[in-house]
Amino acid sequence: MTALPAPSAPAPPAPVPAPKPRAPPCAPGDEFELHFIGELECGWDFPGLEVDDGLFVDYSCEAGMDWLPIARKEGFVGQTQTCYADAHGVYVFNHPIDFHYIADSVASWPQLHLQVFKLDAAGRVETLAYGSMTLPNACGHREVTVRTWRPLQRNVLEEARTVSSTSGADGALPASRAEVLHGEVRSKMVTKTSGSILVALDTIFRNAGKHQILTG
Amino acid sequence: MASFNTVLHRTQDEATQNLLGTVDTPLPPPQPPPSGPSQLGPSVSNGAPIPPALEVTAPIGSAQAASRLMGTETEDTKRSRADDAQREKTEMQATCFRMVLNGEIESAEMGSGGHGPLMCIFSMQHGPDWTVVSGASDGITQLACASVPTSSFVTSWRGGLAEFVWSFPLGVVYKSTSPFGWPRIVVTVYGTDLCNRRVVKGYGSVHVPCQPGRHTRTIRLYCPLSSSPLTRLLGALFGNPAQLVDPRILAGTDGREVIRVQSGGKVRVHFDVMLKDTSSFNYAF
Repeated sequence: MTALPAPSAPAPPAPVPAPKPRAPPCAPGDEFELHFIGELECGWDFPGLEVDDGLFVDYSCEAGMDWLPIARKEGFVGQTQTCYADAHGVYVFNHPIDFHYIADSVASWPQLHLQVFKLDAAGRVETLAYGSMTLPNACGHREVTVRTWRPLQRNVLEEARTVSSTSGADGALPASRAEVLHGEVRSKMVTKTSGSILVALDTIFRNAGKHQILTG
Repeated sequence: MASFNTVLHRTQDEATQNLLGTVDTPLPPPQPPPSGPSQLGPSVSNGAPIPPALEVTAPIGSAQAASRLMGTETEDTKRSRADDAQREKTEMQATCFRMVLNGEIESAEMGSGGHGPLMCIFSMQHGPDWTVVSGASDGITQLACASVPTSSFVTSWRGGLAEFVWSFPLGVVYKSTSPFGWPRIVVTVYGTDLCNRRVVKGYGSVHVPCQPGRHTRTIRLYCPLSSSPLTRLLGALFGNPAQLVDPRILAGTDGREVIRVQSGGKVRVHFDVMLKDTSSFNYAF
Protein backbone atom coordinates (compact mmCIF):
# COMPACT_ATOMS: atom_id res chain seq x y z
CA MET A 1 0.00 0.00 0.00
CA THR A 2 1.23 3.43 -0.79
CA ALA A 3 1.05 6.09 1.79
CA LEU A 4 -1.64 8.68 1.25
CA PRO A 5 -0.07 12.12 1.37
CA ALA A 6 -3.28 13.92 0.63
CA PRO A 7 -4.90 14.14 4.09
CA SER A 8 -1.83 15.60 5.74
CA ALA A 9 -1.28 18.34 3.19
CA PRO A 10 -4.51 20.34 3.48
CA ALA A 11 -4.81 19.87 7.23
CA PRO A 12 -5.98 23.28 8.45
CA PRO A 13 -3.46 25.00 10.66
CA ALA A 14 -5.30 25.48 13.92
CA PRO A 15 -3.69 28.72 15.17
CA VAL A 16 -4.59 30.97 12.30
CA PRO A 17 -3.13 34.44 12.71
CA ALA A 18 -5.69 37.18 12.56
CA PRO A 19 -5.83 38.40 8.96
CA LYS A 20 -5.18 41.98 8.09
CA PRO A 21 -8.28 43.95 7.18
CA ARG A 22 -7.66 44.23 3.46
CA ALA A 23 -5.55 41.14 2.94
CA PRO A 24 -7.09 39.04 0.20
CA PRO A 25 -8.08 35.69 1.66
CA CYS A 26 -7.62 33.88 -1.62
CA ALA A 27 -5.27 33.87 -4.55
CA PRO A 28 -5.57 36.75 -7.04
CA GLY A 29 -8.03 35.79 -9.70
CA ASP A 30 -9.98 33.57 -7.34
CA GLU A 31 -11.96 36.27 -5.56
CA PHE A 32 -15.70 36.08 -5.34
CA GLU A 33 -16.80 38.80 -7.72
CA LEU A 34 -20.31 40.09 -8.27
CA HIS A 35 -21.77 42.22 -11.00
CA PHE A 36 -25.15 43.84 -10.75
CA ILE A 37 -26.12 45.26 -14.13
CA GLY A 38 -29.43 46.86 -14.83
CA GLU A 39 -31.57 49.94 -14.51
CA LEU A 40 -33.43 51.86 -11.92
CA GLU A 41 -36.30 51.85 -14.32
CA CYS A 42 -39.41 53.73 -13.28
CA GLY A 43 -41.79 54.68 -10.48
CA TRP A 44 -45.56 54.94 -10.18
CA ASP A 45 -48.46 55.30 -7.76
CA PHE A 46 -46.94 58.11 -5.75
CA PRO A 47 -49.81 59.84 -3.96
CA GLY A 48 -50.53 63.53 -3.80
CA LEU A 49 -48.60 64.68 -6.85
CA GLU A 50 -49.56 67.51 -9.16
CA VAL A 51 -49.03 67.40 -12.90
CA ASP A 52 -46.04 69.72 -12.69
CA ASP A 53 -44.29 67.82 -9.93
CA GLY A 54 -41.13 66.08 -10.96
CA LEU A 55 -39.57 63.13 -9.20
CA PHE A 56 -36.00 62.06 -8.79
CA VAL A 57 -34.36 59.32 -6.78
CA ASP A 58 -31.21 59.49 -4.71
CA TYR A 59 -29.76 56.02 -4.29
CA SER A 60 -26.83 54.43 -2.54
CA CYS A 61 -25.72 50.85 -2.41
CA GLU A 62 -24.73 49.91 1.13
CA ALA A 63 -22.64 46.81 1.65
CA GLY A 64 -20.62 45.40 4.51
CA MET A 65 -17.00 46.11 5.29
CA ASP A 66 -15.89 43.00 3.42
CA TRP A 67 -17.40 44.22 0.19
CA LEU A 68 -15.01 46.18 -2.00
CA PRO A 69 -16.65 48.37 -4.65
CA ILE A 70 -14.54 48.25 -7.80
CA ALA A 71 -14.01 51.32 -9.98
CA ARG A 72 -15.87 53.56 -7.51
CA LYS A 73 -13.93 54.18 -4.36
CA GLU A 74 -16.77 56.18 -2.80
CA GLY A 75 -19.23 53.35 -3.34
CA PHE A 76 -22.12 53.23 -5.74
CA VAL A 77 -24.18 56.34 -5.06
CA GLY A 78 -25.98 58.67 -7.37
CA GLN A 79 -29.03 60.59 -8.36
CA THR A 80 -31.36 60.06 -11.28
CA GLN A 81 -32.81 62.56 -13.66
CA THR A 82 -35.90 64.54 -12.73
CA CYS A 83 -38.86 63.20 -14.60
CA TYR A 84 -42.48 64.10 -15.11
CA ALA A 85 -45.25 61.57 -15.49
CA ASP A 86 -46.55 60.20 -18.75
CA ALA A 87 -50.25 59.66 -19.49
CA HIS A 88 -50.39 56.61 -17.22
CA GLY A 89 -48.70 58.22 -14.25
CA VAL A 90 -45.36 56.46 -14.75
CA TYR A 91 -42.15 58.34 -13.99
CA VAL A 92 -39.30 56.99 -16.10
CA PHE A 93 -35.92 57.23 -14.39
CA ASN A 94 -34.04 54.83 -16.68
CA HIS A 95 -30.90 55.18 -14.61
CA PRO A 96 -28.15 52.72 -15.50
CA ILE A 97 -26.78 50.48 -12.77
CA ASP A 98 -23.42 48.73 -13.08
CA PHE A 99 -22.21 47.64 -9.64
CA HIS A 100 -19.05 45.57 -9.37
CA TYR A 101 -18.02 44.15 -6.01
CA ILE A 102 -15.35 41.85 -4.71
CA ALA A 103 -16.66 40.15 -1.58
CA ASP A 104 -14.45 38.67 1.10
CA SER A 105 -17.55 37.58 2.96
CA VAL A 106 -21.11 36.95 1.92
CA ALA A 107 -22.42 38.44 5.15
CA SER A 108 -24.19 41.81 5.00
CA TRP A 109 -25.25 41.51 1.39
CA PRO A 110 -25.52 44.89 -0.38
CA GLN A 111 -28.73 46.80 -0.09
CA LEU A 112 -29.98 49.48 -2.41
CA HIS A 113 -31.32 52.44 -0.47
CA LEU A 114 -33.70 54.73 -2.30
CA GLN A 115 -34.97 58.15 -1.40
CA VAL A 116 -37.56 59.71 -3.69
CA PHE A 117 -37.64 63.48 -3.93
CA LYS A 118 -40.28 65.75 -5.36
CA LEU A 119 -39.44 68.92 -7.27
CA ASP A 120 -42.50 71.11 -7.46
CA ALA A 121 -43.30 73.96 -9.80
CA ALA A 122 -41.83 76.53 -7.43
CA GLY A 123 -38.50 74.73 -7.34
CA ARG A 124 -38.81 73.31 -3.84
CA VAL A 125 -37.36 69.91 -3.18
CA GLU A 126 -39.04 67.62 -0.65
CA THR A 127 -38.58 64.05 0.33
CA LEU A 128 -41.50 61.98 -0.86
CA ALA A 129 -40.63 58.44 0.10
CA TYR A 130 -38.00 56.02 1.28
CA GLY A 131 -37.42 52.47 0.20
CA SER A 132 -34.80 49.77 0.25
CA MET A 133 -34.16 46.45 -1.38
CA THR A 134 -31.60 43.72 -1.04
CA LEU A 135 -29.77 43.08 -4.26
CA PRO A 136 -30.55 39.66 -5.75
CA ASN A 137 -28.51 36.81 -4.34
CA ALA A 138 -28.91 34.50 -7.28
CA CYS A 139 -27.67 35.04 -10.78
CA GLY A 140 -30.13 35.75 -13.54
CA HIS A 141 -32.54 38.46 -14.49
CA ARG A 142 -34.75 39.90 -11.80
CA GLU A 143 -37.25 42.71 -11.83
CA VAL A 144 -37.85 43.91 -8.32
CA THR A 145 -40.63 46.25 -7.30
CA VAL A 146 -39.59 48.31 -4.31
CA ARG A 147 -42.52 49.48 -2.22
CA THR A 148 -41.80 52.77 -0.51
CA TRP A 149 -43.15 54.65 2.48
CA ARG A 150 -42.81 58.04 4.06
CA PRO A 151 -42.64 58.90 7.76
CA LEU A 152 -45.67 60.50 9.34
CA GLN A 153 -45.24 63.46 11.62
CA ARG A 154 -45.73 63.27 15.35
CA ASN A 155 -49.08 65.04 15.57
CA VAL A 156 -51.95 65.97 13.30
CA LEU A 157 -50.99 69.60 12.95
CA GLU A 158 -47.50 68.88 11.70
CA GLU A 159 -48.88 66.22 9.42
CA ALA A 160 -51.35 68.66 7.91
CA ARG A 161 -48.56 71.15 7.41
CA THR A 162 -46.46 68.55 5.62
CA VAL A 163 -49.30 67.49 3.36
CA SER A 164 -50.13 71.06 2.41
CA SER A 165 -46.36 71.40 1.84
CA THR A 166 -46.15 75.05 2.72
CA SER A 167 -43.32 74.51 5.11
CA GLY A 168 -41.14 72.60 2.69
CA ALA A 169 -39.90 70.41 5.51
CA ASP A 170 -38.89 67.01 4.37
CA GLY A 171 -40.06 64.01 6.31
CA ALA A 172 -38.01 64.27 9.46
CA LEU A 173 -36.16 61.06 10.14
CA PRO A 174 -35.08 60.16 13.68
CA ALA A 175 -31.67 59.10 12.41
CA SER A 176 -29.61 59.02 9.26
CA ARG A 177 -31.07 57.41 6.19
CA ALA A 178 -28.78 54.42 6.18
CA GLU A 179 -29.56 53.59 9.79
CA VAL A 180 -33.28 53.94 9.30
CA LEU A 181 -33.36 51.86 6.15
CA HIS A 182 -31.21 49.21 7.72
CA GLY A 183 -34.05 48.62 10.09
CA GLU A 184 -32.81 49.18 13.63
CA VAL A 185 -34.28 52.53 14.61
CA ARG A 186 -37.47 52.02 12.71
CA SER A 187 -39.52 50.77 15.61
CA LYS A 188 -40.17 54.34 16.79
CA MET A 189 -41.62 55.48 13.48
CA VAL A 190 -45.11 55.75 12.05
CA THR A 191 -45.17 55.61 8.27
CA LYS A 192 -47.56 55.82 5.40
CA THR A 193 -47.64 53.93 2.14
CA SER A 194 -46.17 55.63 -0.90
CA GLY A 195 -45.43 54.57 -4.47
CA SER A 196 -43.47 51.79 -6.10
CA ILE A 197 -40.17 51.75 -7.94
CA LEU A 198 -39.16 49.13 -10.47
CA VAL A 199 -35.52 48.01 -10.50
CA ALA A 200 -34.42 45.56 -13.20
CA LEU A 201 -31.16 43.77 -12.44
CA ASP A 202 -29.02 41.11 -14.04
CA THR A 203 -26.71 39.43 -11.55
CA ILE A 204 -23.44 37.76 -12.51
CA PHE A 205 -21.24 35.82 -10.11
CA ARG A 206 -17.64 34.87 -10.57
CA ASN A 207 -15.95 32.01 -8.74
CA ALA A 208 -19.05 31.15 -6.74
CA GLY A 209 -18.32 27.48 -7.27
CA LYS A 210 -14.72 27.80 -6.15
CA HIS A 211 -15.90 29.22 -2.84
CA GLN A 212 -18.58 26.55 -2.61
CA ILE A 213 -21.38 29.07 -2.58
CA LEU A 214 -24.69 27.58 -3.59
CA THR A 215 -27.22 29.96 -5.04
CA GLY A 216 -30.73 29.40 -6.13
CA MET B 1 4.20 36.13 -66.40
CA ALA B 2 6.07 33.73 -64.18
CA SER B 3 8.97 36.16 -63.84
CA PHE B 4 6.59 38.95 -62.94
CA ASN B 5 5.13 36.79 -60.20
CA THR B 6 8.55 36.07 -58.82
CA VAL B 7 9.43 39.75 -58.76
CA LEU B 8 6.14 40.53 -57.08
CA HIS B 9 6.76 37.86 -54.51
CA ARG B 10 10.21 39.21 -53.80
CA THR B 11 9.04 42.79 -53.35
CA GLN B 12 6.25 41.64 -51.07
CA ASP B 13 8.73 39.57 -49.16
CA GLU B 14 10.94 42.63 -48.69
CA ALA B 15 7.96 44.68 -47.60
CA THR B 16 7.09 42.07 -45.04
CA GLN B 17 10.62 41.97 -43.77
CA ASN B 18 10.70 45.75 -43.47
CA LEU B 19 7.37 45.73 -41.74
CA LEU B 20 8.59 43.24 -39.22
CA GLY B 21 11.98 44.87 -38.82
CA THR B 22 13.81 41.60 -39.39
CA VAL B 23 15.76 42.42 -42.54
CA ASP B 24 19.04 41.01 -41.36
CA THR B 25 17.85 37.88 -39.67
CA PRO B 26 15.66 35.44 -41.49
CA LEU B 27 12.31 34.45 -40.09
CA PRO B 28 12.77 32.21 -37.10
CA PRO B 29 11.52 28.70 -37.46
CA PRO B 30 8.16 27.99 -35.88
CA GLN B 31 8.66 27.46 -32.21
CA PRO B 32 6.66 24.34 -31.57
CA PRO B 33 8.04 21.44 -33.54
CA PRO B 34 5.79 19.79 -36.11
CA SER B 35 4.63 17.46 -33.40
CA GLY B 36 2.89 20.43 -31.81
CA PRO B 37 -0.68 19.70 -32.81
CA SER B 38 -0.60 16.33 -31.13
CA GLN B 39 0.47 18.00 -27.91
CA LEU B 40 -2.02 20.80 -28.24
CA GLY B 41 -4.96 18.57 -28.97
CA PRO B 42 -5.95 17.57 -25.45
CA SER B 43 -5.47 21.02 -23.96
CA VAL B 44 -7.81 22.53 -26.51
CA SER B 45 -10.41 19.87 -26.06
CA ASN B 46 -10.65 20.01 -22.30
CA GLY B 47 -10.18 23.75 -21.98
CA ALA B 48 -7.09 23.60 -19.76
CA PRO B 49 -5.06 26.80 -19.35
CA ILE B 50 -2.40 27.20 -21.95
CA PRO B 51 1.17 26.38 -20.95
CA PRO B 52 3.36 29.46 -20.57
CA ALA B 53 5.63 28.36 -23.38
CA LEU B 54 2.88 29.00 -25.89
CA GLU B 55 2.31 32.53 -24.68
CA VAL B 56 5.97 33.32 -25.22
CA THR B 57 5.67 32.37 -28.88
CA ALA B 58 2.81 34.75 -29.53
CA PRO B 59 4.83 37.48 -31.37
CA ILE B 60 6.35 34.88 -33.67
CA GLY B 61 2.91 33.61 -34.43
CA SER B 62 1.76 37.09 -35.37
CA ALA B 63 4.83 37.54 -37.56
CA GLN B 64 3.95 34.40 -39.42
CA ALA B 65 0.39 35.57 -39.78
CA ALA B 66 1.60 38.85 -41.22
CA SER B 67 3.90 37.18 -43.69
CA ARG B 68 1.08 34.89 -44.71
CA LEU B 69 -1.11 37.91 -45.20
CA MET B 70 1.49 39.48 -47.46
CA GLY B 71 1.56 36.40 -49.63
CA THR B 72 4.97 34.93 -48.85
CA GLU B 73 4.26 31.30 -48.46
CA THR B 74 7.24 29.26 -47.40
CA GLU B 75 7.48 25.67 -46.41
CA ASP B 76 7.77 26.61 -42.76
CA THR B 77 4.65 28.72 -42.72
CA LYS B 78 2.75 26.05 -44.59
CA ARG B 79 3.77 23.48 -42.07
CA SER B 80 2.80 25.56 -39.10
CA ARG B 81 -0.48 26.91 -40.39
CA ALA B 82 -2.64 24.35 -38.63
CA ASP B 83 -0.49 24.82 -35.59
CA ASP B 84 -1.17 28.57 -35.70
CA ALA B 85 -4.88 28.11 -35.88
CA GLN B 86 -4.83 25.83 -32.88
CA ARG B 87 -2.76 28.28 -30.89
CA GLU B 88 -4.95 31.27 -31.74
CA LYS B 89 -7.95 29.32 -30.64
CA THR B 90 -6.31 28.46 -27.34
CA GLU B 91 -5.23 32.04 -26.67
CA MET B 92 -8.67 33.35 -27.46
CA GLN B 93 -10.18 30.93 -25.05
CA ALA B 94 -7.88 31.91 -22.24
CA THR B 95 -7.83 35.70 -22.48
CA CYS B 96 -11.31 36.96 -23.21
CA PHE B 97 -14.87 35.90 -23.61
CA ARG B 98 -17.20 36.78 -26.43
CA MET B 99 -20.75 37.97 -26.46
CA VAL B 100 -22.70 37.52 -29.65
CA LEU B 101 -25.75 39.74 -29.87
CA ASN B 102 -28.41 39.34 -32.49
CA GLY B 103 -31.89 40.68 -32.37
CA GLU B 104 -34.10 43.40 -33.65
CA ILE B 105 -35.53 46.72 -32.72
CA GLU B 106 -39.10 45.69 -33.18
CA SER B 107 -41.48 48.55 -32.71
CA ALA B 108 -42.44 51.71 -30.89
CA GLU B 109 -45.56 52.96 -29.21
CA MET B 110 -45.65 56.69 -28.80
CA GLY B 111 -49.00 57.20 -27.14
CA SER B 112 -50.62 60.47 -28.06
CA GLY B 113 -47.33 62.10 -28.99
CA GLY B 114 -46.75 60.24 -32.23
CA HIS B 115 -47.74 61.96 -35.46
CA GLY B 116 -46.56 60.66 -38.76
CA PRO B 117 -43.54 58.50 -39.39
CA LEU B 118 -41.02 57.65 -36.71
CA MET B 119 -37.33 56.89 -37.09
CA CYS B 120 -34.97 55.34 -34.58
CA ILE B 121 -31.26 55.98 -34.28
CA PHE B 122 -29.55 53.52 -32.02
CA SER B 123 -26.05 53.13 -30.70
CA MET B 124 -24.49 50.46 -28.53
CA GLN B 125 -22.32 51.78 -25.72
CA HIS B 126 -19.90 49.68 -23.72
CA GLY B 127 -17.26 49.98 -21.07
CA PRO B 128 -13.50 50.27 -21.54
CA ASP B 129 -12.85 46.54 -21.38
CA TRP B 130 -15.10 45.79 -24.29
CA THR B 131 -14.21 45.65 -27.98
CA VAL B 132 -16.44 45.24 -31.00
CA VAL B 133 -15.16 42.26 -32.94
CA SER B 134 -17.58 42.41 -35.83
CA GLY B 135 -20.83 43.97 -36.81
CA ALA B 136 -22.17 47.50 -36.61
CA SER B 137 -22.75 48.90 -33.17
CA ASP B 138 -24.99 51.72 -34.34
CA GLY B 139 -27.44 52.42 -37.08
CA ILE B 140 -30.47 54.26 -38.34
CA THR B 141 -33.77 52.59 -39.05
CA GLN B 142 -36.25 53.47 -41.72
CA LEU B 143 -39.12 55.89 -41.25
CA ALA B 144 -42.07 53.83 -40.11
CA CYS B 145 -45.73 54.70 -40.13
CA ALA B 146 -48.36 52.95 -38.08
CA SER B 147 -50.97 50.85 -39.80
CA VAL B 148 -53.76 52.91 -38.31
CA PRO B 149 -53.57 56.64 -38.96
CA THR B 150 -52.45 58.09 -35.69
CA SER B 151 -54.54 61.24 -35.78
CA SER B 152 -57.82 59.55 -36.59
CA PHE B 153 -60.78 59.15 -34.32
CA VAL B 154 -60.21 55.39 -34.06
CA THR B 155 -56.81 55.64 -32.43
CA SER B 156 -57.84 58.33 -30.05
CA TRP B 157 -60.69 56.10 -29.03
CA ARG B 158 -58.26 53.21 -28.56
CA GLY B 159 -56.15 55.31 -26.26
CA GLY B 160 -53.86 56.64 -28.94
CA LEU B 161 -51.69 53.54 -28.97
CA ALA B 162 -50.48 52.82 -32.46
CA GLU B 163 -47.56 50.56 -33.19
CA PHE B 164 -44.73 51.71 -35.44
CA VAL B 165 -42.90 48.61 -36.61
CA TRP B 166 -39.25 48.90 -37.65
CA SER B 167 -38.09 45.31 -37.15
CA PHE B 168 -34.55 46.52 -37.67
CA PRO B 169 -31.87 43.86 -37.19
CA LEU B 170 -29.05 44.06 -34.70
CA GLY B 171 -25.87 42.03 -35.02
CA VAL B 172 -22.74 42.72 -33.01
CA VAL B 173 -20.00 40.51 -31.60
CA TYR B 174 -18.13 41.77 -28.56
CA LYS B 175 -15.15 40.50 -26.67
CA SER B 176 -14.21 41.45 -23.15
CA THR B 177 -12.46 40.27 -20.04
CA SER B 178 -14.98 41.49 -17.46
CA PRO B 179 -18.73 42.03 -17.39
CA PHE B 180 -18.16 45.53 -16.01
CA GLY B 181 -19.33 47.96 -18.64
CA TRP B 182 -21.73 45.49 -20.20
CA PRO B 183 -23.08 46.91 -23.49
CA ARG B 184 -26.17 49.06 -23.47
CA ILE B 185 -28.31 50.13 -26.36
CA VAL B 186 -29.25 53.79 -26.50
CA VAL B 187 -32.17 54.62 -28.76
CA THR B 188 -33.29 58.02 -30.01
CA VAL B 189 -36.69 58.22 -31.63
CA TYR B 190 -37.32 61.01 -34.10
CA GLY B 191 -40.75 61.99 -35.35
CA THR B 192 -42.40 64.91 -37.03
CA ASP B 193 -44.31 67.71 -35.40
CA LEU B 194 -47.45 69.38 -36.70
CA CYS B 195 -45.50 71.44 -39.24
CA ASN B 196 -43.74 68.33 -40.56
CA ARG B 197 -40.40 69.20 -39.00
CA ARG B 198 -38.20 66.47 -37.62
CA VAL B 199 -38.07 66.61 -33.84
CA VAL B 200 -36.92 64.31 -31.07
CA LYS B 201 -39.72 62.20 -29.65
CA GLY B 202 -37.84 60.28 -27.02
CA TYR B 203 -34.67 58.80 -25.67
CA GLY B 204 -34.12 55.59 -23.78
CA SER B 205 -31.58 52.93 -22.99
CA VAL B 206 -31.43 49.40 -21.72
CA HIS B 207 -28.59 46.99 -21.07
CA VAL B 208 -28.16 43.96 -23.28
CA PRO B 209 -29.41 40.96 -21.28
CA CYS B 210 -26.62 39.09 -19.58
CA GLN B 211 -28.13 35.62 -19.91
CA PRO B 212 -27.86 33.65 -23.13
CA GLY B 213 -31.12 33.13 -24.91
CA ARG B 214 -33.90 35.23 -26.34
CA HIS B 215 -35.14 38.19 -24.37
CA THR B 216 -37.64 40.92 -25.01
CA ARG B 217 -37.14 44.26 -23.35
CA THR B 218 -39.31 47.32 -23.34
CA ILE B 219 -37.46 50.62 -23.26
CA ARG B 220 -39.49 53.41 -21.75
CA LEU B 221 -38.79 56.69 -23.45
CA TYR B 222 -38.54 60.24 -22.23
CA CYS B 223 -37.93 63.61 -23.76
CA PRO B 224 -35.79 66.33 -22.19
CA LEU B 225 -37.59 69.47 -21.06
CA SER B 226 -36.37 73.00 -21.47
CA SER B 227 -35.46 74.78 -18.30
CA SER B 228 -38.06 77.54 -18.63
CA PRO B 229 -41.58 77.74 -20.09
CA LEU B 230 -40.48 80.43 -22.51
CA THR B 231 -37.80 78.33 -24.16
CA ARG B 232 -40.24 75.45 -24.15
CA LEU B 233 -42.75 77.53 -26.09
CA LEU B 234 -40.11 78.87 -28.46
CA GLY B 235 -38.82 75.37 -29.08
CA ALA B 236 -42.29 74.13 -29.92
CA LEU B 237 -42.89 77.10 -32.21
CA PHE B 238 -39.66 76.87 -34.15
CA GLY B 239 -39.45 73.09 -34.24
CA ASN B 240 -36.36 73.10 -32.09
CA PRO B 241 -37.25 71.50 -28.75
CA ALA B 242 -34.68 70.63 -26.13
CA GLN B 243 -32.56 67.68 -27.11
CA LEU B 244 -29.41 66.04 -25.90
CA VAL B 245 -26.21 67.07 -27.62
CA ASP B 246 -24.75 63.63 -27.01
CA PRO B 247 -27.33 60.92 -26.28
CA ARG B 248 -24.54 58.56 -25.27
CA ILE B 249 -24.58 60.03 -21.78
CA LEU B 250 -27.77 58.06 -21.23
CA ALA B 251 -25.66 54.92 -21.00
CA GLY B 252 -23.78 56.40 -18.03
CA THR B 253 -24.55 57.95 -14.70
CA ASP B 254 -22.55 61.15 -15.04
CA GLY B 255 -24.55 64.34 -15.30
CA ARG B 256 -27.91 62.64 -15.27
CA GLU B 257 -29.12 64.57 -12.23
CA VAL B 258 -29.29 67.87 -14.10
CA ILE B 259 -31.70 66.63 -16.77
CA ARG B 260 -35.45 67.10 -16.57
CA VAL B 261 -37.49 64.81 -18.74
CA GLN B 262 -41.07 64.18 -19.71
CA SER B 263 -41.90 60.48 -19.77
CA GLY B 264 -43.83 58.93 -22.62
CA GLY B 265 -43.54 56.22 -25.25
CA LYS B 266 -42.03 52.78 -25.48
CA VAL B 267 -39.69 50.89 -27.76
CA ARG B 268 -39.71 47.10 -27.83
CA VAL B 269 -36.43 45.31 -28.56
CA HIS B 270 -35.68 41.61 -28.97
CA PHE B 271 -32.25 40.34 -27.98
CA ASP B 272 -30.70 37.01 -28.90
CA VAL B 273 -27.60 36.61 -26.78
CA MET B 274 -24.91 33.97 -27.09
CA LEU B 275 -21.95 33.75 -24.76
CA LYS B 276 -18.68 32.06 -25.58
CA ASP B 277 -15.63 31.09 -23.50
CA THR B 278 -17.12 32.26 -20.22
CA SER B 279 -16.50 28.97 -18.42
CA SER B 280 -12.75 29.55 -18.13
CA PHE B 281 -13.56 32.76 -16.22
CA ASN B 282 -15.88 30.92 -13.83
CA TYR B 283 -18.72 33.31 -14.53
CA ALA B 284 -22.21 32.25 -13.65
CA PHE B 285 -24.86 34.19 -15.56
